[in-house]
Amino acid sequence: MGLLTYVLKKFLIGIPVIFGVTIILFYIMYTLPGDPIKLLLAGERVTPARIEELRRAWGLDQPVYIQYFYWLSHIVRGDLGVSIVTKEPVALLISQRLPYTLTLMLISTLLSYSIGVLAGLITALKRGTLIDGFVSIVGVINYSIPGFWFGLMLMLSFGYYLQLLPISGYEGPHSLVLPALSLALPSSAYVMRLTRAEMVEVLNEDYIRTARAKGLNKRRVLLVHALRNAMIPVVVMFFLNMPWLIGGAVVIETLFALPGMGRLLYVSIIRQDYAVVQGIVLIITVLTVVFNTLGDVVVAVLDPRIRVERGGGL
Amino acid sequence: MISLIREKIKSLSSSEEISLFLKHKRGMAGLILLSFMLFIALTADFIAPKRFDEVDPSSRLLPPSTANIFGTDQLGRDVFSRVVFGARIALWVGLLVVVIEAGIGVPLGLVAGYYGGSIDKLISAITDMLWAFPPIILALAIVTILGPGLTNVVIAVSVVSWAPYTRVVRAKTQSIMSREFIIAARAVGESSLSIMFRYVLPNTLSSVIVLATLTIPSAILYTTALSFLGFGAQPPTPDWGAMLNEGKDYIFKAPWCSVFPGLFITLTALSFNLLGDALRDVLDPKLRLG
Repeated sequence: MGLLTYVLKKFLIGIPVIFGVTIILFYIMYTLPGDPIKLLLAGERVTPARIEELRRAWGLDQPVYIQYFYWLSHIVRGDLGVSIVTKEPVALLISQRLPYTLTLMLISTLLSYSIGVLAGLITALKRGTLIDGFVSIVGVINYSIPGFWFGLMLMLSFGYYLQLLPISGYEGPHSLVLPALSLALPSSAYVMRLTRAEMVEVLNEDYIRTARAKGLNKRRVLLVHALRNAMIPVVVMFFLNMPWLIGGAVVIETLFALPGMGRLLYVSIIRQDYAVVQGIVLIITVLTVVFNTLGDVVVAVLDPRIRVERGGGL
Repeated sequence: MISLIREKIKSLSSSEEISLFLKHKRGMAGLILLSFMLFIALTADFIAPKRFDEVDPSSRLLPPSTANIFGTDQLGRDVFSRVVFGARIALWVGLLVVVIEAGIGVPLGLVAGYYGGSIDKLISAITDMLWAFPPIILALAIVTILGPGLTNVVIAVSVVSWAPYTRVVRAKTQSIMSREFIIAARAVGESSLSIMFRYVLPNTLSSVIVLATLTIPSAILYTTALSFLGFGAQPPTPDWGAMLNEGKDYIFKAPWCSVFPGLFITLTALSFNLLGDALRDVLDPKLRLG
């Protein structure tokens, strides 16, 4: 199977997933209590005739499946509905906040990968030594610490006692440092673990021993032969991890009162602003599918064997 | 199921696995830490100097002292007593989530691995989809529908994170299916159900035990995160996440209200992570969770 067909197939598989989520989301909204028109008017005085007119205009007099397609056709055109609380379009609300969340994810990923890969390489190369033992234990501790508690402790130490960085809200890029650190802590430990495991495995492979036995430069063997192969799963994890980071961002953005999409989700759940909740979950689903597909594609490019192995399943 | 576990334990005792485990320093450290947590959870009524909901308006936000070793919170409640009672909730919630996850994931994995074909494809597709999706977001969506509360959070977290059980059990089942004893059981006309539960399941048990130990920490972290956001345990429940939710408003005035609950979440998660890693090294070194 060629690379292009493979990539195309992977993207096509994502479409029914998104489709399925839209059905579930619509059904949830449909069964939630409350009349959407009354919620939309929010106490405004209007005649029953006007309500009936609005009901028809929004397609609410139609059967469920017609309503679903009506809703879907709006979504496809980028119309995610209107927030009941602020009366602003959901798509606008999300597009204003998404950049903060994506920047936060980017910074925390850069942090967790630079720390994790470095620590993983050191522990793999110094396997069995005191350094390995120490760094590995720090790693286990790091992913046992709840990110939100770590964030609170960072706020307390760097924000309050040392007064080095802002405690909450967004005052500029430096406001993202503490949140990014809180988000990066657990994932850096996972990256380290994976890097170490892969590197140890690769170093035991025949071709590495052959390369060494041939008398090739030790550093060259490590960097060119071992590292390149050991990094494939680590790179893939980069993509598969992105959706999980969005989940972490909800908690961390709420803690640090950042104006991102994660906090918007939290606030909208509290305010029962379901149109916004629906829109954000939909965006997250699309992002999840995109990142997973990218992960599959990157594997296929880096390691052609995988294409054959995983071709059969989903 | 219980008799299966009993048999497994019997076959394990006095075997080399036990002595291997005893030599595993980090595993032993985890076991000791976990025993400590279990001890304070079981004896909370005797250890805690006060009830977890005993309000004392005259001693609000007091720093740690000999009278209140972890200090007091905004209602004058003893933080140490609340943390000790919180251990009960955390361990109970972790166990409950893992049991529900295994209850959903293990049978699905058995069925997928045993039958193969289109059933396997369907189950694997659902599992992969669930695995890819951020669990916190899904759990939040479920809590939005069910409403806040500890029980609902337990349901939400279990329902969104059984995927690893299905993956591991499915792979194990597939590798067992070609073994002689399965072929023999089929040849003598054993029913599929009986083969799955009497012959395949016991062989997946050690992987499931390792997996359960390693997923308890994430179960505790997710449920406390949801309680921290205010969707889980409600006041005055001494849930560690809920305590952090209340404590964060006084983080600068009374940091002890936040420091200790978080520290205990970390220690509990750490104990299971250390123990789980050791169990994996001993029982199932090839197990991969990714």
